Amino acid sequence: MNIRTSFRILASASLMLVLSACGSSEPKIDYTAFRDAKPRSVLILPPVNQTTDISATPGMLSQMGHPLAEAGYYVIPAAVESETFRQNGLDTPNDIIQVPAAKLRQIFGADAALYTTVTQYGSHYHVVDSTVSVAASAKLVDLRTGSVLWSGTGSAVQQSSGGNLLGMLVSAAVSQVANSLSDASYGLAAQASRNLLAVGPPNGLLYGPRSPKYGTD
Amino acid sequence: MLRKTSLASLAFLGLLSGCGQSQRPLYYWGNYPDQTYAYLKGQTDPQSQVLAMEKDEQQAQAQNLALPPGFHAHLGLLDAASGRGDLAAQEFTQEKTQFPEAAPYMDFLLKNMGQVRTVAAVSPAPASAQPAATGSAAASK
Repeated sequence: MNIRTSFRILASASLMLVLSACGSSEPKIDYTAFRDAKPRSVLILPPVNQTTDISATPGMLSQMGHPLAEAGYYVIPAAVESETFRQNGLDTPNDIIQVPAAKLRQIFGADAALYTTVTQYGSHYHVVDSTVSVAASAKLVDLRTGSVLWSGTGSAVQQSSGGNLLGMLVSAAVSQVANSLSDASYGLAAQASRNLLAVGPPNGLLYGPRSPKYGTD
Repeated sequence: MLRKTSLASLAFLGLLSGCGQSQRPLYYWGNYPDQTYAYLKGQTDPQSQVLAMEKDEQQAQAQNLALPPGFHAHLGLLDAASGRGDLAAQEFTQEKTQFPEAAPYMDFLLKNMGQVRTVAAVSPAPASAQPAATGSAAASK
């Protein structure tokens, strides 16, 4: 490969970069199935916890209902749902996500289910500072057809001392709760839930039927 | 003079409410997420939860906001855990009255309580509370 060829490759690669940058404001996901499905109610399944903090699952499960309901969806109550699962011998998120969509639909009557994985929850200590971070990914699945309607990720980060801020810096939400580390994670989980389940472009959820903005997006 | 002032304040109020329209939430959330968290972690008892949620109900009314999805069903769960099956059935029924989308699941819970026929929304349940534990929500496998 001579210099001219590699130059050409580099040029086309940079053009592609420019193209992809231009495209970032466009919707990245296909909303066709979501629009057609018109889900009214959502069952938020207990999030699978990939962290070492056992509070991650209840911390997210208890706070994801807020943004979803304010977006216009009916949300199955988390505590009641957990009792139903428990009474059926399903105690862990990993067991629960194995339940067939049809069975979930039969019991809870929800149009869609939200499958979530928590990837970060708690504090990380670095050389000069420490951060508390919460991050999760989720997908919305139509319980009538099993098809994925939407997927996304969301996170929130709080840094204890200066330095450059990674992700979204949230101090207001956290200052409201007591200062223990687990509580800081709980406050951040609220913010991460709002980021994860935000409505609107480019990658957000669509408004649900109970929102005055339903059908406008 | 007086009329002018009141007109102006009325207009100002109108302006304020106009501004707030897009910001106004659909529901009054109060402590409901925190109560759910405490319940899931097993760090609370039904009685104190019911007390906290009754305060939320008053606040919601004061602010003229609806209670969020699941609020009444959660209360029903607490009632069932306290052995007050009649109250639980009322809350489950209220949940589906407020949110018809909740009907299949609420009917499932009511059926498992064995009270789906005896409790109507219009008439209060018999005074003798059945010892309905949270286990009443069990589904047949």
